[in-house]
Amino acid sequence: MRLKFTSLILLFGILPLCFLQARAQDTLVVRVDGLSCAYCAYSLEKKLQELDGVDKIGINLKDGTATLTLKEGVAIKDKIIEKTVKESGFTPRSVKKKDESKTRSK
Amino acid sequence: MKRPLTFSLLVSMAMPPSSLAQGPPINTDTPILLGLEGKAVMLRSMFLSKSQLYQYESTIPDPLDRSVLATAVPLVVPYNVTSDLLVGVIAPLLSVRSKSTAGSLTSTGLGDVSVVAKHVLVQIDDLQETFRILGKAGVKFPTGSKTVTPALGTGSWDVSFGTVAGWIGKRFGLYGELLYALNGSSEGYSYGNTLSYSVALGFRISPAVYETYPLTQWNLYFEAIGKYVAKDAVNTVTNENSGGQILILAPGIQWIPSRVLLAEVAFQVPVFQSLNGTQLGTGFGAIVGMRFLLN
Repeated sequence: MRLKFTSLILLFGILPLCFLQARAQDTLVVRVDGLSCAYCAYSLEKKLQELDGVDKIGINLKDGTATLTLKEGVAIKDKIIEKTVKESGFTPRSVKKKDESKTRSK
Repeated sequence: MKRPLTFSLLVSMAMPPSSLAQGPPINTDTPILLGLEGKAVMLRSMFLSKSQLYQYESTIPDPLDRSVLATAVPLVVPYNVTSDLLVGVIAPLLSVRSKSTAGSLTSTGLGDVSVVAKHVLVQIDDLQETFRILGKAGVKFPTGSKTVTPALGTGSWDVSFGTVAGWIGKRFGLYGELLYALNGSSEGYSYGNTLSYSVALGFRISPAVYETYPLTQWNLYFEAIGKYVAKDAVNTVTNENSGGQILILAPGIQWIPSRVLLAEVAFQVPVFQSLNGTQLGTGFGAIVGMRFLLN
């Protein structure tokens, strides 16, 4: 009886979690070479802002990185980001996800 | 007919620096193409003076006490056709005053408009640095008036071609430009071709380390500009009092306070002049300018 009760509790406790949509706001770190001036950063920032799904952009010239915070539930292919960096006039080296991500329930 | 003073100004303006960790040099062109879809606009005031009569490398007294002061405000709009190809238009507004014992004359208006194209030939990028070489070409149109005195244009169609190269690192940058102009003729007056070169050394004074963009930035530039100008000809007869060579040193400082604004000032000091025959030599010059990005 106790086992049945425990099973029911677990079932109805876990089941709703499956219907919850886990919302993640991904952050991508793009390593870019050739960023040697402030206007370079401006040009790259403008181009990346035009991508659908980009919420925020931060550029660090010392590390040679552009950090893209994407809108919730959005994913952008690495190839699209690399193409955008090249169109800005710079050389993309890598696109990686940042370890942290936000999770919210509906 | 004499070569208009504005000619030397126009040659230097025809290939302006465009629209650069630093900003772009003040006199020398930069190998980084940032036309920013036509939204990178440059406005500057350039002052060029001629006041000393030269005979070859020596100054001589001028019984007519002649001098010329030219002020140019070139409007420059570059546009990136692709990330490797940039096209720009330079429209100079000129005010030229010539003085002598006989009096003073001033002309104001549009000078000769130029169109310039630059294409990336070599690009090697690394963390916080880049090395690039560009090919460059341009055409100057005879839009400046020749009927006024002093003239605002040469009346000739000129073409130029050359190269721009640069290595830009974390705090220093080294830039170079070499340009050859095939100058046309107008009403029987043929202008001598010009070989121009310039070298710039840039240094970011502040901040020491540029981390998160954007930061207020101060840059120092030390530039050397040289020209070899061939003699002109009038109806195929060489004008012996034309052409020569000059070397100018141009220190300058640049301030970039925000994403969209850059302000700069540079002085031009001629340190060597060897002019053919008897001519007015080049005096001190200055550039005061702004570059801004239209969001």
